[in-house]
Amino acid sequence: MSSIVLKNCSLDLPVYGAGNRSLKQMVMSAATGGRIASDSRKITIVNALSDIDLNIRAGDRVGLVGNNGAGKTSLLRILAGVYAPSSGSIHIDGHVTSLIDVTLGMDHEATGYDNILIRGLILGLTRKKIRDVTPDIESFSELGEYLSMPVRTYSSGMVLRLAFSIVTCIHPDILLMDEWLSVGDATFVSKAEERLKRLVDKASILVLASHNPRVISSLCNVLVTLEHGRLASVERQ
Amino acid sequence: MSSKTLTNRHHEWRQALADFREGIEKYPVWSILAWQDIRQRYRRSVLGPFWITLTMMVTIAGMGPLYAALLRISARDFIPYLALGLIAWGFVSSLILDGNTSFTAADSMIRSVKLPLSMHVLRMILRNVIIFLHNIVAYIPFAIYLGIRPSWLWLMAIPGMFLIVLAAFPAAIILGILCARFRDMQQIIASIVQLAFFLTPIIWKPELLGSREYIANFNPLYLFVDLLRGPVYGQMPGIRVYIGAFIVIAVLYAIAFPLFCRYRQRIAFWV
Repeated sequence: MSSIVLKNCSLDLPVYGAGNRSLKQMVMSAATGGRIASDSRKITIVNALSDIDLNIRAGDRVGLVGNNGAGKTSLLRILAGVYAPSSGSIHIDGHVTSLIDVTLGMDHEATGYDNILIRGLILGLTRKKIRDVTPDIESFSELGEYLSMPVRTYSSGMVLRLAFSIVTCIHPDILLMDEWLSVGDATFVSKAEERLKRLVDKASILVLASHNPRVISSLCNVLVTLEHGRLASVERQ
Repeated sequence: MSSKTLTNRHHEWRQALADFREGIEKYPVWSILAWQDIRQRYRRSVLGPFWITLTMMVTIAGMGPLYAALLRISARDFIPYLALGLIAWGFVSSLILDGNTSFTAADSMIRSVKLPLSMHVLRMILRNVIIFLHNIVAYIPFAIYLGIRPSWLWLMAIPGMFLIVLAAFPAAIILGILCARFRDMQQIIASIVQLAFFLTPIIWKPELLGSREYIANFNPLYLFVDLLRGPVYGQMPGIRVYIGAFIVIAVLYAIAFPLFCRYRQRIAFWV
């Protein structure tokens, strides 16, 4: 069974300005006893998340809400295993598929088919599996002949359609999404929503960060509100 | 299904080793990304990756006769030396320069998907091996023109290449971490590499130093250039060169591994 358990998780993010990213400045301030360039040694630390306790079980559809900068993306990145918590512990059972960046790994000089292969491999699919799902991507993206052409010839809506069709052909255990994937023109949107619903249904756990209350209420059964990096409330429906 | 518990500062070295192992297992991903890097650079050009070869040939044809005249060595002897030196140097130096950006170049991937970090280093190394294999071709027309016969000894350049790859992995981890943390590091390394080109016997021969030949012998980059150039040029590198290379490799791993254990989890914050 998939599950996610966070205990007392905190995340401190170092913020580097030009000054403290420079080796020269560090050496200067060390050599002068910190008088010159004294500001550069201080690294601003943003307390992105503090004391998060969260228990997510199989079947949970978690909607993450909160203002900008409340820590939604940071929490998603911790769940994805990209950021390690500064303190506390995290235990994840199940394979995590992160759709934080939908167009990740897209190579604009390569053809649509090349991109299906690259993105598929990054998602952790095998070459054989990618060959099997390619017809599905072909028919769903409706890109037709364009798939054999370089992605740079696509409109931005078409790029998103391709990216969306690829990332939604997987069977995830734990699915992480940042913002509802918004895809191109009106005719495609309803089709895309239906496909996403099916994807979400197949997943054992969904964690979705969104500002859209309609999306959250139609998809999620657990509402997690973040405020300034703290858990404000966890409501189960 | 995989189960993982991430607690801070525990089993750091075990996680680092797991990262290396998973990195190697991700071969299907980084190999295609490495090829994609090459294709991206040369897409829409007629010669494709063979531009690399052509550039190298033009450089050799331009510099060879000139430096042979300047150093008063016969062009017949000097051109193969220079050609092989430039090809070997191109390989070694681009591994160093690309090593700087092995993590920062993959920033978007590092920050959105959990993939072993060593994968990005392996991708960079493979890309440079592919470029190097294209560069080797540049030697063929000169060898034919000068009537050089191939010898079995040339094959000894292959273990040389593997030793370079073995050294490039820890070197790129060290440089990649330093350059992710300190952004001016890349410029510093670039200047050092440029200077090192003139300090390493490539456009000159170490014998010219006379009694001061030790200047060349203590240059670790010379060791690695010699591992590739020596066998093909017809001067098999001595056992001292191999021992020296192994020592450099051991030192690099001894620095890279603790550094990677300590800062692996911070790389995502830095890139």
